[in-house]
Amino acid sequence: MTKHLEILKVVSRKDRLELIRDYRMVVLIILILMLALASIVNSYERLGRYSVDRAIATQQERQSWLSQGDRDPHSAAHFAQWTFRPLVPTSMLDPFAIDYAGTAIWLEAHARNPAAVRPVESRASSLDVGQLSIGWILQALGPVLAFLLGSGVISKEKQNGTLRLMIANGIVPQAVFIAKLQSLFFTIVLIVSPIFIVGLIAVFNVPTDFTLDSAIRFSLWVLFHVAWLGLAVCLAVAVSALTGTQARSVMILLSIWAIAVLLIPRAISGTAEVLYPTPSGAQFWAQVRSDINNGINNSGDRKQREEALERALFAKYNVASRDELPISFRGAVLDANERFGNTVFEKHYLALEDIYSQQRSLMRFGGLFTPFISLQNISAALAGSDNHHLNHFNAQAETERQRVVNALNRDLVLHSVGKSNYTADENLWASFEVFEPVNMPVIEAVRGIVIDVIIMFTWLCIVIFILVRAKTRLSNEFGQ
Amino acid sequence: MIQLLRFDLLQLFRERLALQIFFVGLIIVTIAVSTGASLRSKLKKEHLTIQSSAESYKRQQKELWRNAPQLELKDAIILPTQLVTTVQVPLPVLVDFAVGWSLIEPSSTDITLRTRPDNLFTRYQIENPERLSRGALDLTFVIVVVAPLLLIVLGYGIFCRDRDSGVAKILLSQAGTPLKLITARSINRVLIVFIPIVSGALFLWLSDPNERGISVFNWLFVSFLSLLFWWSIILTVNTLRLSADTALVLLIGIWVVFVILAPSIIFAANSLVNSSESKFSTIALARAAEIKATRTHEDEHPELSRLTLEGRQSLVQKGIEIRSAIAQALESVEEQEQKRVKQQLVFENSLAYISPPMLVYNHLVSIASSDKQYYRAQQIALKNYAISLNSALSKLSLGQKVVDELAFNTLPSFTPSPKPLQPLLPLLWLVVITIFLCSIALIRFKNIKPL
Repeated sequence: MTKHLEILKVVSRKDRLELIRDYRMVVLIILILMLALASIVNSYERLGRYSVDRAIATQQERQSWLSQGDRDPHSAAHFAQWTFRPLVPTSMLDPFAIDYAGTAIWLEAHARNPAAVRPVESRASSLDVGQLSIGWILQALGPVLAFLLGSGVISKEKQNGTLRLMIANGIVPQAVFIAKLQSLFFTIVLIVSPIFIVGLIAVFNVPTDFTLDSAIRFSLWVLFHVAWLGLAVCLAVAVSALTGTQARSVMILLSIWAIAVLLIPRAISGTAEVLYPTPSGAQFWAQVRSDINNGINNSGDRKQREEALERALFAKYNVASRDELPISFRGAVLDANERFGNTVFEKHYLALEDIYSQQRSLMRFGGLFTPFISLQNISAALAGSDNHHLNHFNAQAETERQRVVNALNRDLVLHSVGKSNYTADENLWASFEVFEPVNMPVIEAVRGIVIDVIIMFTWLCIVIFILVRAKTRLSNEFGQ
Repeated sequence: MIQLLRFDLLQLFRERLALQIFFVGLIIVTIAVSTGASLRSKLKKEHLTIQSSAESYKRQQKELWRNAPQLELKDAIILPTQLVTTVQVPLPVLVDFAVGWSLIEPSSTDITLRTRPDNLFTRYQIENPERLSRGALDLTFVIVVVAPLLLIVLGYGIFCRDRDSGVAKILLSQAGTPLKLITARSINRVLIVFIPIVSGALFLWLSDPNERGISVFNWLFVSFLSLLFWWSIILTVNTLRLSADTALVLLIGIWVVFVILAPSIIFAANSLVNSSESKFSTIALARAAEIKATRTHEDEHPELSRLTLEGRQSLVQKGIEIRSAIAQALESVEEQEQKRVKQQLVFENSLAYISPPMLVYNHLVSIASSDKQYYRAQQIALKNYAISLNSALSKLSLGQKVVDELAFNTLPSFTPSPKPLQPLLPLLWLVVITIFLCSIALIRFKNIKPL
């Protein structure tokens, strides 16, 4: 044990020395650290600005809603309210899909609008090789760093003949192997530690509340990224041991990186669209309009539905004309149409979510070819920037929309009987408290990524297996 | 020379690396081509479906408008208020070569009398955000990101390896200068990477050749120029007194900086320097204007029944006043936004000069018409069209013009904005630096002294 520690110390000292002397690596490390700092400043500034804008807009929206004056409740349901998506503090670590997802929903009568105002619309470029965030740096550039630092740890020793010298001095190849592995892992952890620390400080200091939920999210996020870097380190050492020259191991490792990080995620994403195409906005709304006008599966148009409602109301209240009804017929029609519309919207949005979920399943299947996809899913779920979090917000917004519109229609049904110019006032508007959507709890977010965690764990096992094989081969190569 | 080319090719394939690179390139191009082809076919199909249903709706409406003179005026003026006009922007000419903004930007919308120009596209953003955030693998991505990597693997040791192994000494003492050999090697290696790309591009073109020949040719020309740029860097690095290992690490470093880091940093800096006004505050501004205009109208006009002509016209007038008040309130915000987008584009295009791959990318998406400028121009054209159409429909529903077939036929029609011109300066810059780097490499190769 003491001898092993001694070897580790010597190897670590030698590797550190070589690293410091290698100006290319020093420049690369400084560049990555500066980039991480810049990214966190950028994300912090963006999230801070977003939170402030959101708070102001929510307040102004409330003001607008209350100050709309006396008006027909249905007119108020059309004026409606906007709701703005709250972001989890950890989303600054990995914005993932946030830029492509809407951040505000208009809770209008007769229409379930999709979330609008996507940050990507304010962008000029479409060359998207990755958003500058610490998540992207650790996920995409972390392995590059590990591969460049690790490509030569054994192959270079073999190439220069120093490994043979070490073995001739009584050191067993296995000990060198383990020492190199540990040394590289600690070096990488040492390099990325400042990134995690700066990330933690930033997450703690965002204008939104830092809760236990955020703390758990952050801890798990760090844990999975350390595992990811560990995976990259193991792979680098294994390839370095299996190849004869550093150039060859650099080439193999970077090919793996390009395929795993750049190509497969994009290829799978394209395949998902080919196999499960998303309808265009125009197609989606044309189908919604058709169902609303002609009924679901042509079950009856608006007029027929109105006539059926009239018959039902006449029978219920035992009357023969609309004027005799104890409730407002107009209100009842609006209410019925709204509820029918909700059924139509539910049908079409469920179909759309089904397409999303099929696409997600296929993309998750891509995790079998590269652990990068699984890590992206895990990271985005913990950061609160995936589709699940968006759907959680959308579902709450829809519930609120239905609640408010139904209540306004109910007011019309009950209070506008015999009054053609009935208006409600601020008392009714104020009876709806400020809608404040809540974020998805971490436990629910974790539940959505169990499969990704299993896939990533499997990858870790595969790489460890390759590592063990490489160690055995190295021992055999040197006749130990 | 031909003999040299044949000899080098033979040696390349004997090493198997070239063959591997060729097949890797072919596989990646095949994936990119299939993605592009299916996207184009999907968008084209959607385009045609929307067009055909819009035309059939138009025919129905025309019939209704033809009979409008027989209706009571209070019923006839409802027709313009109910008219839904579906418009779509033309499909980008090479969307299968460069996906660009085609999946992000909405390309069609419905316009009615109630449509607010600032809200034209809010309902049309239903693409899967997670899928969009993973990006697309198209031929342009292959040219900008993948092809340079393949070239680096093929070329990092084009001369360095000879120097490492000592072959360079024999070579120089026999031939004096390695120029001919380097030229032969260069031609073979660039072709190994370019042939799969050309094949992919030709396949896409031939599968839908309609008026795309010039654009495809332009696209291939810029792509080839991009490969030459990378090859000139590889040659220059090979002239330095570096080992093959160091040359590889250096080239990979250059690739990481140019392709991965520079675009991300430029994008982040751009969004920081030219940050947009909060869209939330724009919403609040529009809402405040809406309330004010509604109250003003209600204060000045008595509530009328919607079943009378006056009531219906009053409702149309109210809508006009509200939309006009909102447009007025948002005028300065819209102006600022236009200015900001312009500044963003200028900022990015200026900084792209330090990242030639970004320059190439911008040029390729611009040739494909799937760039931001194209969609921006089309959206402005759509907004202007919505304003002119609404104005015509308003006149009809206010009774200022007769609602009939003639009025229907003379409604304004949408003319898409012409394709923005591609700036030549970035291309010239690319040519200049490629020639400059190639010249340096050639001079240095020529001056290598046989030891």
